[in-house]
Amino acid sequence: MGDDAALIAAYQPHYIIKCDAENCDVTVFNDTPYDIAPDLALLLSTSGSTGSKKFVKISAAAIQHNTTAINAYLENTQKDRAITSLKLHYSYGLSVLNTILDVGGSIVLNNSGAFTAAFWEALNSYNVTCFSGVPHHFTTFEKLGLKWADYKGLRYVTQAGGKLSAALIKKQAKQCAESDIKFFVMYGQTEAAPRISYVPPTDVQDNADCIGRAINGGALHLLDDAGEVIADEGVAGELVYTGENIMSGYALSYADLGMLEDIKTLRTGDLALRNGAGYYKIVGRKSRFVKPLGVRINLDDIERHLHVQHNDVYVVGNDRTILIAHTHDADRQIDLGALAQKYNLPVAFFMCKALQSVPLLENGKTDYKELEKNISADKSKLARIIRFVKSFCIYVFCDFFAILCGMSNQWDSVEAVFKENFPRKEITLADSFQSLGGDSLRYVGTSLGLESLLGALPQNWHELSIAELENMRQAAHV
Amino acid sequence: MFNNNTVVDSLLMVKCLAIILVVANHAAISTGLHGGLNGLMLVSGIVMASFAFKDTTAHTLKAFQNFALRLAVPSFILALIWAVAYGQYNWSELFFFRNWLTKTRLVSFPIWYPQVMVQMLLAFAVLFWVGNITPKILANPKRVSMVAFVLALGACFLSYALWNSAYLHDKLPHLLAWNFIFGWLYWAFLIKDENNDKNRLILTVILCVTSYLVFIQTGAIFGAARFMWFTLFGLILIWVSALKMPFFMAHIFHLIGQATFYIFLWHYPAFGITLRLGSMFGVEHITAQPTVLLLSGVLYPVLLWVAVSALKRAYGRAKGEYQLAAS
Repeated sequence: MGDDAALIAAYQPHYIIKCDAENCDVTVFNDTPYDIAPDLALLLSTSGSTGSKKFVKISAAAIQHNTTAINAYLENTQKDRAITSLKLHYSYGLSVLNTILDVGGSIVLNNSGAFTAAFWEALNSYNVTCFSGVPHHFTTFEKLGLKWADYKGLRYVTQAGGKLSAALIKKQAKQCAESDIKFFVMYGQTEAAPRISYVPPTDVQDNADCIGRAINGGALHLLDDAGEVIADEGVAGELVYTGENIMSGYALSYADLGMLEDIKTLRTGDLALRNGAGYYKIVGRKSRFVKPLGVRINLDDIERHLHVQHNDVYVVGNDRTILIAHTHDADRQIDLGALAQKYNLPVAFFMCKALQSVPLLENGKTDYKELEKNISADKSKLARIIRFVKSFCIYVFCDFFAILCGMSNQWDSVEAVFKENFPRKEITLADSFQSLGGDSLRYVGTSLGLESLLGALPQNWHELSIAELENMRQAAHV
Repeated sequence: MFNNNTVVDSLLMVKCLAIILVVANHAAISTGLHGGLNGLMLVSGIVMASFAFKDTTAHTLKAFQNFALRLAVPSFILALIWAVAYGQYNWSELFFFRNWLTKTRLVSFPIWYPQVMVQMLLAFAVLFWVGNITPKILANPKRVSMVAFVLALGACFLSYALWNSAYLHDKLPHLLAWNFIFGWLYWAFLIKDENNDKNRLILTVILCVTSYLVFIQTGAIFGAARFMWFTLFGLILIWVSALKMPFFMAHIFHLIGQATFYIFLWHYPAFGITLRLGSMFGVEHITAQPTVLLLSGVLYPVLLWVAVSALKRAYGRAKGEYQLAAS
């Protein structure tokens, strides 16, 4: 409700529609007209939203570009029929609707999830030709033994919305190929309306760990830390997309709806490399998110929030400490209590540090890596012990109820799950459950921990390295 | 095939049902409840085969050693604490061979299970080392597992023919090894090979026939109950890959599955606490009820496990912060 109020205050909507199972109540909230750009077609929340009022502004032209490009490689025609397997307010789900309608095809609207018998009965009885799923769908199908051969009408299956393990992609693609069904692996972001790249079905077996090549009308390249284009194969850098389907900026309030930015380049925030076949492979994430006590916090959000009152404030952190570095005079204190309350975290997680100057990169941007070194600046031994005891008590209390109630987000990484289940082992990213000597006393805890991070686990999870599992987790978060 | 509920793996389900059966039996809910630990051996056998049979025999031996230590060390510490607390030192119990001498025990948990498992793992370790068995079982999982199973059954029948071990409640490694090795058969037929109806049917026949022959035909102690429960657990594992249930119920399975060893070690003390609380508050007639004992025998150890897990996790996280702050 708090989020709704903030959203309403930011966007001052003309109408508020509240629905329950049977009725919808429409209220006129604001009758003052405000400026909305004529080509602004859609506002979508980003998947990494932390409950903020931030929306991606997407123009009708961007949607049309993307829809045409998707239809080019999926080869959709008016004979095709999709089914709603994803929410329509999710950019991937909406693109399924857009593409199928753009070619004059049809879509089966259904309220059953893809793990219900009713869904698959509808898929068969309405002669659906295409199914679209996210990694969770495919890992669960694998566990439940779904056979694509049972669904004769399908022409193709698409997978996007996060990284599926290469082994499972190969298996699913092979199974599809045996039934003459094309299996597309795709990648995108809401900011690209949403499709960016795809792997053609003929190349999936050899490039199962890749996100493929750019869609028609788009281009991909990689940038190193200095912002230079990486030309070599196998060198990781930030994945950058150029195309006509990119968003028109972000909106934080109704005041942002009147103007569309002309953005042609999107820095995805994903780290990737290019293989010999020219396909891109995601290897990590350039992230400004931390997760203290399992609460996902965007450090940029905090920074923006503080910038309202303080100009020279820079926020860095990790899952244990959020450091607010500033160059203020001593009398301009930052209210850590209010900040802790706003982000639902104990105040012990925040610390302030006054700096003489802010470290900068050569290009003039803030050097956050250098700033992170200040997190360890709390030198007093007593203060460290007090922080330790305080944090320990908070952790025990929170963890007890989190474990007892089965709350998700108990771990922040795959490595943390392994560290907890193999407390006396030296763990490296190359280790797997099997190589660490996992046994029946450890497998339940480890598998459940991993399930809470990744969703359904692949059959061979115990053979996969921590690095591979971590890649899957990060892909799922993207 | 599909619904919207949480999926619980049948291995986890059987593990939970087996430990609950152990506690129910000890709470005297009814007669005919023996067989829980046989079920746990089966689960351990499947998991051991899945994770320990890899690459070389050295890897398998390491896995056997790790598992034996994970069972033996806490059992030894508890037995030692018990011995110190009561001033009764029984070396055969402390050093894991009392099951060969008597069916009685001093400690407050069924220590025969870790004793049998440790002895069994020792014997397997020797056999794997001498015969360099891991590459062979990986090359031909069905054949080698079947040979191991037949040998284990042979040892069992021979023992029953030559020696009436009822006075030890049959809690001897060579009488129970086939329970564990049946897990290897499960691994060979349904995990390494295709999980199809033919393999399931073969395993079902092997399970039912051997279970009947060993538990019923030999006159094994508590044979009827063990036959019923062991066969049921085996059938669930063979025919049900996972079960869907509401999150709340699935989470209970998750908690019990993770706290299984705690329940095994602490359910008798939990009974004691419940009975003492009953006498303190004058409600013995309630707390002495087998159902109440069963609930407490599961609930207290689960809460203990949750508390220990929270402490361990919090310590690790707080320690990380401490190290970071000091760096």
